[in-house]
Amino acid sequence: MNQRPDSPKTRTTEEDAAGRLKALLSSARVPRAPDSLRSLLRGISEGGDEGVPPALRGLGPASTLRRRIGLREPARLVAVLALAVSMSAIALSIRNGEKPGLSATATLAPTTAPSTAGSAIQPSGSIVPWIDARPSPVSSATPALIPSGTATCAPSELTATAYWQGATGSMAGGIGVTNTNQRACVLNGSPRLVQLRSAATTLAPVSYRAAPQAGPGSSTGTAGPVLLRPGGQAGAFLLWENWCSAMIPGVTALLVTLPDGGSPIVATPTPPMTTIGSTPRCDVPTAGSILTAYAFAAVAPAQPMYEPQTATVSLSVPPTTTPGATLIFFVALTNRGTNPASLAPCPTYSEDLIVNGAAMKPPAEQRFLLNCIAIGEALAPGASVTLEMRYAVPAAIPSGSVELRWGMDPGGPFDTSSAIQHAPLTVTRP
Amino acid sequence: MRSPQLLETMTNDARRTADAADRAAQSERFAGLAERHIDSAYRLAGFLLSDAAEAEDALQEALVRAWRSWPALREASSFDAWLDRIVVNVCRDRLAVRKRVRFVDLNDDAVEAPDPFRAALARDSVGRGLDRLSPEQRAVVVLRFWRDMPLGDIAAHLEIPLGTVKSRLHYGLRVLAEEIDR
Repeated sequence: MNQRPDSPKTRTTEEDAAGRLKALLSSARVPRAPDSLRSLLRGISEGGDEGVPPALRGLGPASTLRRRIGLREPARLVAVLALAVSMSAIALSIRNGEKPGLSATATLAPTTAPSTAGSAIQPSGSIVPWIDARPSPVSSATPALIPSGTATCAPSELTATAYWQGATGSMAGGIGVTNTNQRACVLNGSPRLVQLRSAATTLAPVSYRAAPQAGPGSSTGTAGPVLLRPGGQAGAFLLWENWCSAMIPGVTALLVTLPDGGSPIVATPTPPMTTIGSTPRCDVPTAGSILTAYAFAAVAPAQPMYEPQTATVSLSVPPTTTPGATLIFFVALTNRGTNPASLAPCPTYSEDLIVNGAAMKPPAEQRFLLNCIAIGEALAPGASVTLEMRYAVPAAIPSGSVELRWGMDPGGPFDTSSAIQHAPLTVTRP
Repeated sequence: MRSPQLLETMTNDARRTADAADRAAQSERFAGLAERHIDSAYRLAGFLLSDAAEAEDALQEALVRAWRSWPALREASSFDAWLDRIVVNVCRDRLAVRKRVRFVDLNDDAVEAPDPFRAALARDSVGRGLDRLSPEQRAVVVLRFWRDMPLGDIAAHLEIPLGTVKSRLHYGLRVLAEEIDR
């Protein structure tokens, strides 16, 4: 590199440059962020699909969830409950020996020859064929009938258990109660009060909120009287948010006051939560910490348990497509977690096309099941599977650059923050 | 000791849905935190890219990345630095692509374009010289002289060693001094 033969007298020093730059930047009259970015944030805040800005539409799990179940208003809780009911129904079907959504429509070979424009580079190795498999419609479980004269449950008749886990910033958990008496009793509603204790200290900064709805852990999705026969069990879902106080050694006990009052029952978390940091994230320092408990609901029989696994999604998409075509592409899904990702119940995925920043949805339902019959019961840690995928490109789609979004749905065995991917392609007129 | 059946059932159901429930609850908080910082983040992107339209695109991309990574952020108090870091990364990627694709010289006719960032920087040769810095140098220089951030804060902000900050600042300023003397 050539050095300029400047004389020391005229050479600008680094300090001079720093001063001039500081003066330039501090006097610069530059605009505030454009309205488009502010409306983007408003869309997130409002949460409704109408308000979700194009750039984020389909990316945020919450908005994706709401759109998929057809809600236009935030109705956050209702959306969550709907998902819970859906997952419970699928799980129940599995326990009954069914493959939900697969038995009616699944085939291992394409049923029609799709018309395509452009072609994706087909990955080497075996490819799991696409199947037109969709989740079965959900039917709610029927709550047990309550015999007239059944007494409400007294604290002395019940024992309680609890658990906590971190849930992307909050702590989610549940209270379970078991009727240890010889007579049936009824629980109706959410706990009147739940207090959190750390060792001998009650966490006073936590405000309690009793939600009248049934929580996501409910097998029926509806609130109402729950009949507890001798040995019978019920559960209430908990969500603890926004802990901005000092770190504590963990919640060691929950004091649960039943809907009809009485002495609190002590529920000890299992396994013990004694690790510092087992508290929610501090999101709004000026706001208080809130613990929400939902209504007691009947508890479904046990199901297999799994942790959502980190995943890598890689798309191989043709460079072009045409309106009305069936876009065939390939998805390489890799389990980056340390545990097997259970495919029973068979997880769902969704596809969206982002056109000029707006999500396009074909007329048909876009939620599909993976070809779990071909993949197997689980995807081992580090294992990959290459899946053939199809997307019905809307006939009315305009020409130009678009973006294909493919992602695993929330609630399945994969962490949806890692199992979503996008790929660009161009729509051309034939 | 084997967990009770009840606990297993609740754990299974709740774990599969807690993630979705919590994310829905977090969307409002994310938007609120981002709204407070959006002007500063936009101007940071503008000074890094010298282009208002590209800054808008970059910040939108950064917000998308941030929203998708939001669950990984443990301390909301570090949101501003976290978003800045994402903005810097997005801008660095865009600058790298720009260098491969085209070269924008602020001395040419483009200076006359009504882009507020480009125009602001083109008022002085030291501002025009920012284009001659590497993306990494430029990020450090902008944070130091526009945000008035101490070097230690820049290191924490960008998650790089303090020595690296000093080095990038030193060599960046040397390039700018040379630009002034051109």
